Amino acid sequence: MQRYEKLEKIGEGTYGTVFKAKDRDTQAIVALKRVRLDDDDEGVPSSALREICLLKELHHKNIVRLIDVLHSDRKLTLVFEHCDQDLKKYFDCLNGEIDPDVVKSFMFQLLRGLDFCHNKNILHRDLKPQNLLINKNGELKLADFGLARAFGIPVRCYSAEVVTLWYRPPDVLFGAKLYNTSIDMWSAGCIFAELANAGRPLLPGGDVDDQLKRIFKLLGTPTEETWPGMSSLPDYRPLPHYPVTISLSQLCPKLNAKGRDVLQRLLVCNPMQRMNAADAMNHPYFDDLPSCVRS
Amino acid sequence: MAGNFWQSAHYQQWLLDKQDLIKERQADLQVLSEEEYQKIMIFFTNFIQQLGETLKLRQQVVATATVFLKRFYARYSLKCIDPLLLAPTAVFLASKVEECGVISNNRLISTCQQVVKNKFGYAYSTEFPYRINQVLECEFYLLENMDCCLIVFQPYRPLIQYGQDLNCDSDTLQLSWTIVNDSLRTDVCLLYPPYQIALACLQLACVVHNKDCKQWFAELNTDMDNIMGVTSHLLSLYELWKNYDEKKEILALLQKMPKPNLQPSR
Repeated sequence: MQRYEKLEKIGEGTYGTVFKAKDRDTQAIVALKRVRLDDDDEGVPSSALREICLLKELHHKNIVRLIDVLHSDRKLTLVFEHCDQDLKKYFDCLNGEIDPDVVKSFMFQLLRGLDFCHNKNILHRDLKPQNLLINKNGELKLADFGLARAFGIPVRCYSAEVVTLWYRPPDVLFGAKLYNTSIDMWSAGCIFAELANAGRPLLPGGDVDDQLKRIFKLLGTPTEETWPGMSSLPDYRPLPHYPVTISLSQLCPKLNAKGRDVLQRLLVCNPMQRMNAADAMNHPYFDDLPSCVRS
Repeated sequence: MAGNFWQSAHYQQWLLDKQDLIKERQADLQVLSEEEYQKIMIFFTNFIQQLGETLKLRQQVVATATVFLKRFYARYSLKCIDPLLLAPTAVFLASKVEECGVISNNRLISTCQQVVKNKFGYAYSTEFPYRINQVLECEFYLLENMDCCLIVFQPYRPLIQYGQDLNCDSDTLQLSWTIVNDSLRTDVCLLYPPYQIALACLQLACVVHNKDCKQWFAELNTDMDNIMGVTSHLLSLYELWKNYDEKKEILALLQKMPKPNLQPSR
């Protein structure tokens, strides 16, 4: 711990406090995530272990790097590369205006990070602006893998209620316990719309019911024809049949037609029909992406 | 993390060289012979297996816990931490890593007490001596020693795939699964990629059941020397077991085993 000089508190993570600190050896700025251990009998919390496990295996420019794990007298500290801010804070400084090229660049980087995780059979499960870190060079990195998990290992079922409500897909809201990469793609769609609107959340539901109604008012209530199997989901209940009354061009007026097409393909109620990260990256919307972002 | 073994920390950091492994064990091997060392590791692998069965854990968790224990002692002497403490710690950590739910403190310790008393009375005349705070402290050392590489690839999944490809009957597949379990009593999980361990176990099972698999193995694009290496570890394990009665010998071995110095050094 002598090696790092604490500078300031950045925030509270899933399982502990996060500090900004300076590495005395290299002068690099890092983020220290202190893991609390005192209050329960779990030992090192599962969420911290999960993050350590996965980040040990994930080395990618769009994924926050775990530099070191320190351990000193019953305290565990994870040392991460430091990013200037998260996407939520970035939105707060925008004053409602965002450059469409920035939207495209951030979305592409989000998809690239996701594609990398999904290729390694890892789901993030908790994507939201607070978990996307941005640095001064316009790089975006996925962070907070506390709820992520490797899904290659078959287990009986995944725990329900893991994604922050606003970014939660309808299948999970209906209690689906077996889900896959499509869970992250829905969240990516919500974040895309939020990016395009300079930080106005697309579906800020107050509870599960409200969240579902907001989704169905936007996309139309799905039927057993458009989404086979929907009515057999554990928490399924019939909801009013909403017709589609608002178009995405009204909701995201600044997004061009190709961008709206990407959004339309991500925000699909039936998880089987949701676009995956690799296909999204190949969409014509990204054709004019600057090569410096792509490489 | 299926299918990415070649990019994994397991492959990059935790496939060891046999010579290095023997070198790391030098301190212990001055006190114990190689065979005695292996018998001690077998004993604690059995202990983990019993803990797993009593706690109703999947074999995958038991195997991961065993690999954790082996990784620790691949770097440190037995006298650094008593394996009787490290074994339940490895089970505790593995159950979290493998996402099968946390074992409560009380349940872990009471299971240790019960297993030591009912199953290993021939090795311990006193009751299980450790408490949960020691397990929790030990968890730190285990994490640190493994450089937090916690995702362990196991031979079970590749074994099932190869078995299907080879059109294996269920008896042969069952036997090869048992051989994989036995392989945890050797050093192969530290030395060879899991898919090669799976292949060697499958081959051995085919030989035992007189199933002709020569053609299938001949068409494999893999390093047959490594498969032979795994096989020779397995065969020497079965050779050792022929004349070994753990119940009679283990007490003396545990007494001889290097132990932590509990007196604070001055």
